[in-house]
Amino acid sequence: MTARLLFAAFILLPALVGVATGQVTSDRIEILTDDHGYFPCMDCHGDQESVATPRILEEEHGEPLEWDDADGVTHFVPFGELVPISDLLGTSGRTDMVGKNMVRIGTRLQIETYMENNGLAPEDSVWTLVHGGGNLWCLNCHDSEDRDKLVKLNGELLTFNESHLLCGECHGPKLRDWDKGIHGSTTGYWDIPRGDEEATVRMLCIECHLSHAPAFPAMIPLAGPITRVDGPGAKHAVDSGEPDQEEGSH
Amino acid sequence: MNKKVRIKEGEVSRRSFVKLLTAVTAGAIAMPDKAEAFNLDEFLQKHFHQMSDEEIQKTLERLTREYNEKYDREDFSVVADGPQQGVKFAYALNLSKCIGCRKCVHACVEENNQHRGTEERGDQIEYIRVLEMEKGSLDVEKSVHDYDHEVPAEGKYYMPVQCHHCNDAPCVKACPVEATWQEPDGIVVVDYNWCIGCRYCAAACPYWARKFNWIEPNLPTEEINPDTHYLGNRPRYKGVMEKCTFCINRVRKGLNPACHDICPTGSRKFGNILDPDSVIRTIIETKRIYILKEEVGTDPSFYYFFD
Repeated sequence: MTARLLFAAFILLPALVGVATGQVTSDRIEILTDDHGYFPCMDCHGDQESVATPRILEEEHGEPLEWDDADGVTHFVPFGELVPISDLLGTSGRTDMVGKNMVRIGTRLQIETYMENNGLAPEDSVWTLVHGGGNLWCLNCHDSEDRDKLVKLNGELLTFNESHLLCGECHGPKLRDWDKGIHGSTTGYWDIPRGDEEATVRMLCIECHLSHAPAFPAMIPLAGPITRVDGPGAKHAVDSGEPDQEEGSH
Repeated sequence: MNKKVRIKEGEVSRRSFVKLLTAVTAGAIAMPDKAEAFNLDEFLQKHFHQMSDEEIQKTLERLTREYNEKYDREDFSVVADGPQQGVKFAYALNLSKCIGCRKCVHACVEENNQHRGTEERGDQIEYIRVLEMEKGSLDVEKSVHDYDHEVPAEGKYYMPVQCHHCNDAPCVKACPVEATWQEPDGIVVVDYNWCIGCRYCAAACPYWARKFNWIEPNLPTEEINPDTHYLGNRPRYKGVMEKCTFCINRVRKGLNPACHDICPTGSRKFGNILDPDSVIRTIIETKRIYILKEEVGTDPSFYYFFD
């Protein structure tokens, strides 16, 4: 009896009140997960309004963002002046669809710098956001007013040189290890007091990882050794054209 | 009884034969092939530990002169910087991060003036072997070291293996002439002028870390790194053993080894294990450490870790 009273008081009653006031509905949950991903509510909505009121950004950073909803209808987030997607992506057309059916576009400055440094052509799809398992979008990291600034969850603005503080908000253990020098590249002197401090470089997160696709891309390794020893994968054994043991035994 | 030995015309007497042999031997020493030139200074050179500072300096000057002449350069520098007080080097490699790109292998070859191989043999000397391992297994017998597909491959991880600079090094114990030893800062070195090329050390090493110069090393002049160390990356001779020295020419100046700095993923960590604030010490204290072939009891200065 006591259990039933407790259930009614703490579970059933609040749930009924929620449904009656429209705060908790199955539709709303579906919209949040299926159409919008897991964006913080206030990224799209005003402080008190339930209708979406996207913030208008400065024209110079006004890259459009689009997504296809469950019915296949394309929606645009009107960030500043709309520019055709094809203009932004060159002749390559649309990039791969990622996450929640969204085409995501990062800060042009960083992407262009990255492409130039890595000798990538515009058609190389570095435009795609492959980060966060589809749960991130531009304004999780970039400031809504100035895309060249990063913004922490508490609203504090950061420059790109302080990006590790932003990365660390999700990747806490990595930031801890980076801080101790365990994670990340360091070049120059192991003995810093003895060596040239300027020649000792500690890489920031975004100097090794492309923030929009942080996993290291697959690459062809440099040449391997010429082996003269039998073993799995020994080159001369493959080149000799001799049948392997199984074939030879039949 | 006066017994005369008559020498017929055209026959060679014992005396003249000995004279001829002496002359030929002296001639061979005096006019040798340039590549096999007999060098009295080199012949009389003492063991590195028995040389005085002055003798070491003279040896370094001689080697600098010889290398400049042999490789047609003017910028060779051969030094013998000693170990730093209170420093013991150690190396840690993050198996969770290495992607098997082999950049370390080739940076090492360039830094250490290794034999570049010949067309016929293709036998470039490499101190580092990157093993492609099955995920979930530490069985090196099932690893592959000459993979040439895109990396990192699905279901694989990569374990670079090089000299572990063991504190109880079997190679040092195996050497019959004490041409290899462990320095006070932990680096196991070879004196190429003392090595007799018996290869006992290579047989003793459980990490396949020692490499032998079967032929005169092929070292193109334009690819030479002229900043060399007597116990490290100075050009080697045919018939001597060589190995990783943690880039002794760099680390004794406070720099990181070449393989450390080239690593694109930051998997490689190096430092002074006696410094409680060093990265290497923090890794050993806080991460899960794996010692390759720990059961053989060599007490290496090279650690693998996961995160």
